[in-house]
Amino acid sequence: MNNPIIISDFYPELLQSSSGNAFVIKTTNPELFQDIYKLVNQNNKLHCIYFSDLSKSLSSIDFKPEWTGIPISVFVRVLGELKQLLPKLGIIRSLNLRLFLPAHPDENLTSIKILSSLGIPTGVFFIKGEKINWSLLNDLMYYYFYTINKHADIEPFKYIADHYHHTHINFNAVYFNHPLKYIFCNKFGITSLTEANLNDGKNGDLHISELNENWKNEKKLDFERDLMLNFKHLNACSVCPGWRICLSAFKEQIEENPGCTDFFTEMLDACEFYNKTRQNKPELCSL
Amino acid sequence: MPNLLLTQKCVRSCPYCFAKKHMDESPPDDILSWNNFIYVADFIERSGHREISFLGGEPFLHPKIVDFVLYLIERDFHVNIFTSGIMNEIMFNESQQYLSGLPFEKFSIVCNLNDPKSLSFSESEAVKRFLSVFGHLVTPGFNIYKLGFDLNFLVNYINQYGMKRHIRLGLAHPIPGTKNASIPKENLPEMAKNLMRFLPVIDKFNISPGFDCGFPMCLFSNEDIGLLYKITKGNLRFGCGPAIDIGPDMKVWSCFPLSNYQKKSVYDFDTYSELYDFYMDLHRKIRIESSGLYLKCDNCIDRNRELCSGGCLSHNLHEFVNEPKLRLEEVYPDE
Repeated sequence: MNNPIIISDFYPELLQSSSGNAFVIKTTNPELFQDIYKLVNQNNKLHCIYFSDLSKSLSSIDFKPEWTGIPISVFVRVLGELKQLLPKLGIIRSLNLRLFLPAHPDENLTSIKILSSLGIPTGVFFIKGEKINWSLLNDLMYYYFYTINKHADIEPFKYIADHYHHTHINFNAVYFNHPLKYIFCNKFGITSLTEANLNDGKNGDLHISELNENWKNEKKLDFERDLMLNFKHLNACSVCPGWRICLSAFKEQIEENPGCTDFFTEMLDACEFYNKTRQNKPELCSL
Repeated sequence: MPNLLLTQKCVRSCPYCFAKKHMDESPPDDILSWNNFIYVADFIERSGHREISFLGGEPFLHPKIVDFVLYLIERDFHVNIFTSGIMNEIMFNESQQYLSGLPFEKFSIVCNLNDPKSLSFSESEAVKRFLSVFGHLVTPGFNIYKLGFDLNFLVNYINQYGMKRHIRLGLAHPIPGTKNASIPKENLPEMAKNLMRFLPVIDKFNISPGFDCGFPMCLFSNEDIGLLYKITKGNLRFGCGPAIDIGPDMKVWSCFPLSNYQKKSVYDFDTYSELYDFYMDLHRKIRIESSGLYLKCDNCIDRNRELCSGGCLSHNLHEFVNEPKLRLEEVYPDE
C-alpha cells in the first residue's frame, strides 16, 4: 500500500475507526505518549509522536523510561539549563527521540551542536517570520558534515545528505510536511495536503478511508507543477543553484536577510563530500 | 595536558604572575565561547587525549565554567581547574551544587595559594570558604617568587581542609620583556636551601612536594635529591617543556613565559600531537642558543642524560630581548 502517512491530533475515536494506516500524532501533552502508542498500534502503526510546545525548554521536560520504544520528535523553544539536562542524557539516549530547536535565537544553533557532540540526535527547524543567522547555521552545517569526531545526526542536514541525488528534494519531510509522504487529517477523518487548509475547512480532500494507491500518482503531478511555478518569474530563487534543496522555503526573507543562497549552495558541496565519503567506506557483506 | 584559558581577567594581582603580560595585552572581556570550546574538545579528543586543564585569568570568572566541566565529563574527559578559589557568591553556590560532589578521578582542582599574611581579609575568607567545600578535590599550589617564603601554612591548610597531601611547587620565572617578581638565577641555590628546610615538616605530615617545570637539578645536592626521591616516591622531575596554552581566541603558545614566541592558532594544526611537536621543536631550537640557566649547563652530564632540562628558558630569553638580533630567530619574541 502506497498510502501517505496521516498527521492528526490525538483523536481516539478516529484511530479506533481506522485501520492499516500509519499515523503521526501531534500532542502538547507528554502524559499521553503511552496512551497514544497503545491506541494507534492496535489497528494502525505509529510512525511518530510529534510533541511541540514552544513555551518549554528541553531541560524542563521530564523524560521517562516508560517512553522506551516510542518514536518521538520533540519541538521546543530552547535547550534551557544544560546542567539540568545533562543528568537526563542517559534516559534520553535510551529513548527513540529526536530533539528539535528553532533556528532563532542564535544560541539554539550552539545548543544543537552541544547535543550532537554528546551523541544526541537533534534537528533545527524554522519558524516563519523569525530571522535566521545564516552564518551560524553555516557553522553548524560545517560541523555536521566535516567534523571527524563522532557526533549524532542533525536534521535536516542528514535528510538532505541522504536524499540529495542532484535533483530537487523537500527537506520538510523531516518535519512531517511533505505533500507526497504526509497528509493532514481532522477529527472527522477529512484529509488535506496542508494543515492551514484543513483548519480553514477549505479544499477538504479525501476521507482517510478513501485513500488509495493512486493517491501519490495524482498528487505528484500537482506537486511538480507547483514547483515549476517558481520559475515563472526571474528572481533570486529561480537562478539559485541551492533551490533544488530549499525549494524557495526562505523566499519571504531573502530581501532583508539574504544568506540562504550561499548557505544552500555550500550545502550542495557538503552533500557531494558526504556521498563521496560514504562511497569510500567498505560495506559489510550480508550473510 | 593542555591548558585552556577560559578568561583573560583575574581576581588577584599576584606579584609573580607569569600570565600578567599576556593578560595586559588581551581584551579583558575576551572569554571562551561555546563554539570554540567544543572545537578544542574535539581537537584534543582526535589526538587520543582526554585531559584538559582550565586556566585564566581566573577561570571561575567565566559564567559557563560549571556547564563546561559537566559537558567535558559527559564526554569522558578528566577536567582540572587552576584557580585562586576566589569567586562571587553566585558562582560559588552554583559550583558547590554541581561540582563539589564529582569524583576526583573525573575532576580535580589545583588551588594557587599565597601566604595568608599577604592576603586581604576578604580574599582570605573567600579562599577558606572555597577550601571548606572543595578541599577534598584540591591539590594546593604554591609559587616561589622570593627567598623568604614559608610553606608551613600549606601544611595547616592541608590538614584543616582535607586537601590532597601533595604540594605543587612552582618557581616564578622572569617573563621576557616584562617585570614580574621572580628570584634571580644567582639566588636560586639559596632558594633551594630554604626549600629543603621545610622538607622534614612536610614529610612528617605525609605530604609530598612536586616540582612544576623549570627547577634546575644542580640546585640540590645528591643527598637532597635522595631525600626528595624518597618523599615523592620517585615522582621527581627537573623538566622544562611545552605546557601548551590555548587562549579564548584560539591562539596557542608553548607556555606563559613564551607566550610571545611563535604564537599560532589552533586552526594551524590538525592534531594536538602536531601542535605539541611544533613547540617541542621550538624549545629545542632555543636550547641550541642557550642550553640552560647557567653556562655550565652546556656540558652538564645530567642535562645530557636528560635528567634535567637546564631550568626555565625564560631566564635567558629575558636577557636576549635587549641584545642585538644576532642569534637564531626563534629566541626573539614575535614582532
